[in-house]
Amino acid sequence: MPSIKLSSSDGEVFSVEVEIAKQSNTIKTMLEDLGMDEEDDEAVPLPNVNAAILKRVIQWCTYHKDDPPPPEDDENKEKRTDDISSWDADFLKVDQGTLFELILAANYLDIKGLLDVTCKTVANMIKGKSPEEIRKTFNIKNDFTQAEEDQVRRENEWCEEK
Amino acid sequence: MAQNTGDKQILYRRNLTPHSVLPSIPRSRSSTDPKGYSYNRIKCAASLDKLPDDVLFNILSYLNPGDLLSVACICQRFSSLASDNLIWKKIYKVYLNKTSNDPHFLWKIKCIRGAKEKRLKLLKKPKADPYTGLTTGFNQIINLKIIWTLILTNHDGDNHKYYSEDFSTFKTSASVRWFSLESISLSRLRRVRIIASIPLFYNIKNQKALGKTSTKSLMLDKKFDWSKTKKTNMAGDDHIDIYYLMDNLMLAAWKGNDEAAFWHYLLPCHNLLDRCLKGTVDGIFSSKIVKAPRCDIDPKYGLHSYTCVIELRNQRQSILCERFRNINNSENYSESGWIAFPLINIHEPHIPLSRQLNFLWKTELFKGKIKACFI
Repeated sequence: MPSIKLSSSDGEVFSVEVEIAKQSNTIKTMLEDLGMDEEDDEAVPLPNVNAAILKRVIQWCTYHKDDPPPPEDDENKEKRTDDISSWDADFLKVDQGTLFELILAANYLDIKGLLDVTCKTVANMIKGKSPEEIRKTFNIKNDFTQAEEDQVRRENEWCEEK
Repeated sequence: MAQNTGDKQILYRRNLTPHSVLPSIPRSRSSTDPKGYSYNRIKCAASLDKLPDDVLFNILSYLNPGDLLSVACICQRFSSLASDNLIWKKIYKVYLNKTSNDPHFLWKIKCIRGAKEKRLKLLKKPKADPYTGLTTGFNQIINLKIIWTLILTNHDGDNHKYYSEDFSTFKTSASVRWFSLESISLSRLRRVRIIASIPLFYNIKNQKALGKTSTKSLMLDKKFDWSKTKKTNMAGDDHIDIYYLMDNLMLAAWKGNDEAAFWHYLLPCHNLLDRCLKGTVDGIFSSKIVKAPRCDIDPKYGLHSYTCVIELRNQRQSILCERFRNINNSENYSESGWIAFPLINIHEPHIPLSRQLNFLWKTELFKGKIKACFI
């Protein structure tokens, strides 16, 4: 199996099978369009992904290497969030910081499957919560003035809460 | 669109020089700032509000409209993201099964309006109960999954809110009760409000509410002063006293300290569905008073074919429910807005209302309070 080397932002180099690495459209495009040689010894720099996250991303891609390509989103259907596989659910039992870094990495590396499942996980953390509960969950500061907040609540029919 | 770019964040593309072989990532959306790709490159203190817009749009695309409205209340940035036209355009299509070609269409506003209209349509016209002749709308109210909020305002303006879904229905009325009240001194109370919160978006299939967003209707708003408010002590035992306060509101107070054990609100079924749906957060829905039809030919003939239902119940069960049919008043026994229907009539005697009452519990609550009881 041909493999390529990937270099994380903090300089750690990972050797990965090309087929696994190609789940990343970013890497795939790079290899195909820019003619990077698979035999090339030089590592592909990934300056936005640190070693800890890259390791997890490779782990995810290795497990999912035989998956069929994810289907295109159907614009006419509600997107489900209850179809996360148990392996993925276990894989994503991580702290919020790691989860968001995985999202950033999946977005940067353009791995649709990983991006979808991580975004679903975050959506599930939001679902069914009140604004105040969401703020608390994600530690987000309320930067509305009182007048703005009243206005926003009216617009969103959330006329009283607190 | 506001971009939440902190000082420590570096725009990735501007910093590309050593590794410029990497292609740019074609994931941009038309409505996002093209500079939306900000990454915490070195020290990743990743948090939800630091994610770039396109990723947040991806997350928001999994939310139902009710949750989106909650997200729009979090902070400035989420407010604009969760109100984005593209997201609501899709919701308009998926939840309301409609679309529009109007380029200036305000999808979110139209969605909320559409949901309200749809909610009204979901409620089939309530049928009259064959026993009482009353159109209660109780089934609709149960289907709507209303959350009943009791708001107690202290003398210093603090609001305490209690939520209840403890809603029970009977032949002629419904009841809501609020338990588990954190200790709040009754003598400090100045205002009592009751609000019905009705979810805005429903899953069409299982009628379950989507998200916590709801419209509110004020049901009761009264000034309260424990020492001055007129209250009737109806019952009591070693621990609590039960008072009737006003407008169908009852309160059980612990003996010895001025705290409430529970509040009980009785909802007569007249226009109940309208009062729940058509009020506002600070305005009680008021309906037109329907005048009783009079006999044009002979006013002395009075009103006829009325039904009278007498119900004795507690919060959980009906103890006695009896009906008198075809009662008339021949000369409009009307006094200060009330009309009397005499049940004892020489020409048309009614069966006396009598029944063995079975109480399923033993109570000392009424001891010494009730001297006699008859109908």
